[in-house]
Amino acid sequence: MKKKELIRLLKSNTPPQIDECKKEQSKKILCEAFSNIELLPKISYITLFKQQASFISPYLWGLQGGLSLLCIGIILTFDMKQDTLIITLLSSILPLLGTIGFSEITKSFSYNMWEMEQPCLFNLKEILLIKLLIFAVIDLVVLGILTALCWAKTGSNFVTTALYLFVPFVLSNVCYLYLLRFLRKSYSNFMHLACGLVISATIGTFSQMPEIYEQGLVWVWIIVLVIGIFAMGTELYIILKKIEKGENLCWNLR
Amino acid sequence: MKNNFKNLNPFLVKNSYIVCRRFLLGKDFLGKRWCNLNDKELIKRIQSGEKELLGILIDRYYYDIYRFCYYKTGNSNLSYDLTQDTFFRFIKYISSYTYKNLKSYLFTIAVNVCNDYFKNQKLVYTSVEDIDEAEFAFNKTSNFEIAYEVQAALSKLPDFQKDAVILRYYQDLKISEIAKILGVGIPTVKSRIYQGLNKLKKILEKEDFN
Repeated sequence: MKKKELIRLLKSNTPPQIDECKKEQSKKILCEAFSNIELLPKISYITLFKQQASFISPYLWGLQGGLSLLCIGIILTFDMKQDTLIITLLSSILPLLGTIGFSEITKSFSYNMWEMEQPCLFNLKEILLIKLLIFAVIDLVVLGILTALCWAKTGSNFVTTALYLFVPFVLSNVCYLYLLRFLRKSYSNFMHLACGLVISATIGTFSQMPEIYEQGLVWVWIIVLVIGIFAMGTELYIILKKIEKGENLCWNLR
Repeated sequence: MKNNFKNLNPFLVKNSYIVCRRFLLGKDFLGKRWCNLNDKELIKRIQSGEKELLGILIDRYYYDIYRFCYYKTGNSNLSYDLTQDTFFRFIKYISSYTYKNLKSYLFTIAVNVCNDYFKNQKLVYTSVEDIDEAEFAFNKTSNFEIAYEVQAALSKLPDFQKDAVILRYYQDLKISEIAKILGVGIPTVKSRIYQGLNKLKKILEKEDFN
């Protein structure tokens, strides 16, 4: 028997005509049941944004503020001739700024928070994105202020100063996202902090190599930044896809 | 020109006028509001509280889901129940549903509802005895015997192959859509369909279908 013949045979098996009475009866039961179901109001993104911001621990806000002030202090204290030292110090502190945001995000993956959020009809993907957005906005503002202060103090090129500060920050975030995806539940704040310290220490060694901050190597920094942004986007995409798949499984296997 | 208009049938002219007017007003021939809402708009409006629109959604997909359940079970009475269960499960979580592809989503639920049914009944396959031969005889005039044998052969397939074959050849879905519904990769769906068809072929050849 050929495939075409087999498919023709399969198609010859048509289901019986629908009994309209049964269908209408079913429809009536469903509509009645639905009228008794209370629909949850859709929360606007601004409300959700405010709500999630209020859940962030005050300690984290304090830490964020403290680290930002420390960075500003470094810029103001050091002499303007020590521009390489200022940049090295700042770029080794900035990965720690990322750990603060991630310690909040990891909360959704620990203590069965994921499972708790779903029965509460929260969308984990949405929550994760909103939390990331909150910290991304804050970190960008802090980085912007630090770049402007650095540029004003040392008088170096604004773009290169921004590059030197953004690249370590982006690369450290790629590492955090990778660890979050790779370790998931076993990922703790201590591991996160340890990772941040290792990255900070590594960047700290750059102070021994002032030649990497030379004007001729700016294109390398640009390439690294582009790769870093691409890697960060990819990591985020993979995490969100995984969450979506998990959610689908949870919703439908109930 | 005037003579041409005089020759027109007044009944036809009047009815054409009513049809055009209703079309412009967005109503159907019975005077009901024309339902040309797409799935996304429909879901959005249902979620915002227009619960009466659920009926339109049920009308739109009832037959597809019923057909799937029928091929899966071979029993029309059971299919009505499973179709209803599918929509029950859908309305339970409609508040949190974010629109993507409603048809695929409903099929995903239908697959799970059917699998849950078999699990609760502790059945691995649909029993051939479940297929109501009288129903085939009643509903089909000429080739009911062939249809019965095909359904019996289909019921002998393992669930995972049966799902893929039904969705591909009875619901005419794309391989990528089936992969999403079943939560597996595209190569897996292809191999399930291939193996399922081979098994069906062997079963039907045993029954002297050539």
